[in-house]
Amino acid sequence: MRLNALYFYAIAYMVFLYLPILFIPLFSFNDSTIVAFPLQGFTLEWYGMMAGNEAMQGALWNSIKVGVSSAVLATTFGVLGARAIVRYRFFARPAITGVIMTPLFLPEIIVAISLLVVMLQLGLSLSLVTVTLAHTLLAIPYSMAILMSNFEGFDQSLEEAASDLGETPLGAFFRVTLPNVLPGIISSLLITFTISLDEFIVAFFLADTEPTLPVYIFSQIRFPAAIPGVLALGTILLVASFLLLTAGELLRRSSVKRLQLKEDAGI
Amino acid sequence: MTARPIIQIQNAVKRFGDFTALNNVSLDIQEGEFFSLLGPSGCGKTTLLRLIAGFGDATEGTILIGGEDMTGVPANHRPTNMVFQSYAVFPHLNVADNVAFGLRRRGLPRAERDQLVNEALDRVGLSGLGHRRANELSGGQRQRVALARALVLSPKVLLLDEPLSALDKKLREQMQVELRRLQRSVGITFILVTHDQEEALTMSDRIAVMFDGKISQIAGPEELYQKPATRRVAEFIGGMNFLDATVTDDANGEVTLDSKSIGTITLPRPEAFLANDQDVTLAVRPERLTVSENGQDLGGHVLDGKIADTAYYGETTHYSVDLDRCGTRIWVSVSNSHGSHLLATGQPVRVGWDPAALVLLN
Repeated sequence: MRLNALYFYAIAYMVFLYLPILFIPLFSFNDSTIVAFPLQGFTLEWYGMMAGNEAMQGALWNSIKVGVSSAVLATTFGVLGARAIVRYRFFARPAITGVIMTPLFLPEIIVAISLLVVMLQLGLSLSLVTVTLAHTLLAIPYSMAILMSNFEGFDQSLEEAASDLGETPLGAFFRVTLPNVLPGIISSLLITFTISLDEFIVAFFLADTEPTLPVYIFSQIRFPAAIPGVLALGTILLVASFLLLTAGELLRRSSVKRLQLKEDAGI
Repeated sequence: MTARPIIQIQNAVKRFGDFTALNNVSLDIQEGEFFSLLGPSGCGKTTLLRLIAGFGDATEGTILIGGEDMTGVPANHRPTNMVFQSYAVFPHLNVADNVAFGLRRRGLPRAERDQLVNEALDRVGLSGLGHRRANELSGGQRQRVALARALVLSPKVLLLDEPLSALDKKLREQMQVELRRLQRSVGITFILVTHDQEEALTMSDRIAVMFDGKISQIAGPEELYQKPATRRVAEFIGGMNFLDATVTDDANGEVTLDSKSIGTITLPRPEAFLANDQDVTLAVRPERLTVSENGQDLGGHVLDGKIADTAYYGETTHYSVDLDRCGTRIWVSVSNSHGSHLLATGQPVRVGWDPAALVLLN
């Protein structure tokens, strides 16, 4: 009986978590401007409307710019930080690791307000640049977590072996280190891009007149006529996020598995 | 073997912060030699090997390879190659590309490079496995890749850092024979770091035994086993019984010793200075002693005792014997070549010994 109760709980949990999300793609194909049952019929009209929506395309373009920039920045810092933390033992290492990982646990609204205050105090005008900087801060912990598992699996003697076989330090980095951590770096780029793409609160506070996609979606919810278009856009974002995160995680796993090549095999 | 040392280590000191890993080590290694650095973990043997390879410089002292001072020369410019303890086979490359790694920098024509790679793979018994990826190889095969990758560059010296420690016993014994054969056929100087005394004894021309960053003794396997220079060396290599004794007389090239365990005995005088009343240690290998059931007259020197413990190993049996005379427990190893029956615990026995088997340590 206990097993059945747990089974029921798991089902209820999954339904509660994922069913509302599934309504988004469902209604995005519904031939009605009113989001309600019963469904009226199948249409691709809302997807077609996006082609002519310049405001939405502008927001998409903003999101891509911010996403790519913050993914590259966060991953660069992630590589440097993860390598240092895994490879070297230095003063206050656990504390420094903790500070870097903290944005993961801070409420985003607090981060957003404090960053807004700091940026205004610094005299920076709000723009996509401020959003990018904030997204970089939020994405670094994710990048670090991915790359730390990558560097932990990377045997330091591989670099020494390259050097021993006649390779220069730079050559060793390009011929040995980079190929081995590349899947982790790509995984970090995909996941941090997705985090930036989906992030709303910080982008809402720190963007001036140029909205990113989530901010644009929020602004459209006030107009009932725009809702089906938002649902179509939301569906695309959902699918894109799902694909990017899955690809990122698969890459991370495969690279960790490949690097964790220990001398445990028999004959 | 020529007389010119390929490697000269002169007063090498290596410190890591407050810790002295190598304490004034001097050593010559001859060309074509199979040389082992043997010692417990933390004795500085790996530190010394890494200094020879070029991973860091000595804090003090110099290392010469082929007569050239290697100070400040990084690993990629030294005529040495190394087989790492973890093998460090590149996981993103297949076997052939691993072996070709060092050759690529030399700008050889592709056909020549492929030929060298294939020869190297043949030499280590990996023919036809060039396309395999590193994660499709067993531990033993990965080690062969690491060997081929180093040997294909024809280094002056091949450095091996505990290469067999990760392999199971059977494979390890097989690789010991193969490494020795390989070293003879290529004629390159091999320097092996190991904590396994059996490995060092079976493979090496000469062995340096290290403790606490210093070399205790450099000798060939037989001399090291039969004439250990210090008590620590004697303890580290094989089994050994130690008996306390005191010098009572020193005349005509002979010393007379008095021991609670074995009484008065006269031995040829060792080189080391001995004073009257000096306390010394007599060491004797367990297999140089014999044991027989009480009553049998062995002739020569005998000690009476009782069997305290028995350990049966198949080819040999180890007996612990408590001597009646002083209660000292000694250890006797008996070959089971005649299929002799086991002696029971508590049984009175007679232990036979030969003065020529005694080693005097001070």
